[in-house]
Amino acid sequence: MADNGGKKITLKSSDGEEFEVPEVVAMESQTIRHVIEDVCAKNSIPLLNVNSKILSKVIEYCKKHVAAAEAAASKASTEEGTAAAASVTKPSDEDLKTWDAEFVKVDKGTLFNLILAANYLHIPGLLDLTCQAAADMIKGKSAKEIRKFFNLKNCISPEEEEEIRRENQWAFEEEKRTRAFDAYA
Amino acid sequence: MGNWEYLPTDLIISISTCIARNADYIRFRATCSSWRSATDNRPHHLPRQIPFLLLPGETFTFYSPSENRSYLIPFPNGTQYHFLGSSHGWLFLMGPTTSLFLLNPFARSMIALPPVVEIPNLFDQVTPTDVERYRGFMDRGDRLSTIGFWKYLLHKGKLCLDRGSTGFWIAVAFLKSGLAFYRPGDKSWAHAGRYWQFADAELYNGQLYTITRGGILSTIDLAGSFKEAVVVSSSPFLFGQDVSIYLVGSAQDLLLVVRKYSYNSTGCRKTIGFEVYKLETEEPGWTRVNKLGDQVIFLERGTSVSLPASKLDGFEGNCIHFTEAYDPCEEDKYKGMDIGCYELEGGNIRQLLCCSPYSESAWPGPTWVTPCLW
Repeated sequence: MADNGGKKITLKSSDGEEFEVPEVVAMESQTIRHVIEDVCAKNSIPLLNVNSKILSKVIEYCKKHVAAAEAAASKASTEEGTAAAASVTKPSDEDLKTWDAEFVKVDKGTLFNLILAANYLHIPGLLDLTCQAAADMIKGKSAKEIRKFFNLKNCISPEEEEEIRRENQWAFEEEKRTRAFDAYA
Repeated sequence: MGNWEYLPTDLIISISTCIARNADYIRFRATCSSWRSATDNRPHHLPRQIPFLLLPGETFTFYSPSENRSYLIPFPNGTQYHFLGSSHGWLFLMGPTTSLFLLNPFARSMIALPPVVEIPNLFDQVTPTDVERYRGFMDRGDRLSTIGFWKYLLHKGKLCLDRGSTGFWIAVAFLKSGLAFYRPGDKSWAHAGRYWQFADAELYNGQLYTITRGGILSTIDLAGSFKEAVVVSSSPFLFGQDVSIYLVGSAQDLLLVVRKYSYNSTGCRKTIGFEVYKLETEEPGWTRVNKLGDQVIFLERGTSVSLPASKLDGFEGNCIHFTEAYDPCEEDKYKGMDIGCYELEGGNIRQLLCCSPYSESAWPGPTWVTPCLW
């Protein structure tokens, strides 16, 4: 891909901060892509639902993924043969995965806002990544622990709770970590 | 912090579909009413069946190797019952005297079956050894004596279930002579295959297939007389060879799994390998299968299953997981814990080391169960 020193777009957060980014980075967001393509180019696109802290994180994600895609594409076109290209792109897949994993190591509040932003801005990769991070936070926790962790006010009626427990009693039994078995030898 | 409770519905769903384990999904839904109402109580992205290792006893212990934890379901007076097999999450139990029933510990429901004594031809083929064993129990004043004898006559039980829309099921009891059947609504047990010794049975494509210990495959006419019709008379293993055989219905085929043993110096039996065959329907016969692809087979005492590994957490395809093949008539052969995983690629067996042998209970050792969670 040619250098994208070309078109730049300004994104304006809900709290008034402006971010100038290359158009191709901004277009990672399908919402923004539609604005640019359908509503004719604007100087500055206001994003009323995203504050500056979150917007800067989102832009960081988009920049990284655009750069990774460009690197993979240019390597593939210069390498001869598909086998060679495949082996070259693989390490950068791993690097990107690692980068993504680090990217979502944020506090719950930030993660929450990232999920909402990824949804509002229609960035599928970021949405998948952040939802998975939220799901991972639930792993192995009891219902009570999940409520506490996410500060969910328990609005389940006692009857409903009883019904849930009855239907799936086994999943609510007290956590019992047994080393009854060693791993497969 | 974020107002997680009031995330838009589609985002709650997005998060819920990232959850990889059934138990986590259930607990996710049990937290608050908005999360509960947003999500389906039948998670289609999760496997319907999860394999657990059932360690029976006073409490049912379902061990999940991938999570390295157990789920406990209390079962009072558990040791008074004899475990005949598990199928689709239903445990086929005998006890406390001669009652027979199906128990689903996950759904906490029970189906009563007519008692053992009503099974026709139950005492055919009783040998003097069996009588001696019974006397042995009586002499020892064994509190399990009432079951102690019966278990030699009725060595296995399973539930064959049509997983399609009909929900048709039939309970099959394996006797010394033939099979006994019970369908919901029947007055009592019916009998088939007199003087034959059966190893396994499975519902496949609407037909009930049975296989004898010698490897003869037949179908049983369930609509009428329970007559057997031989489908394949030649078995892919040598008659008389010491093997255990299992019929496994996978998504595409009816498989025959042959488990081969060898004996060590102390007379203890260990599994050394498996062969897998599939049934050819056009020209009925068995052809060897060398690869299972994504499928992983769990040999249960009862109904064995073949599941896609990609949907399971912590299991790899092209493997067969097995535990001790318990047969009360061959009790003296079990001294070790023959439990492990056989990889079809390479033929290696990885033993699963269990630290608590089961000495005094009437229950055999651990067995795989794959309950249907919804």
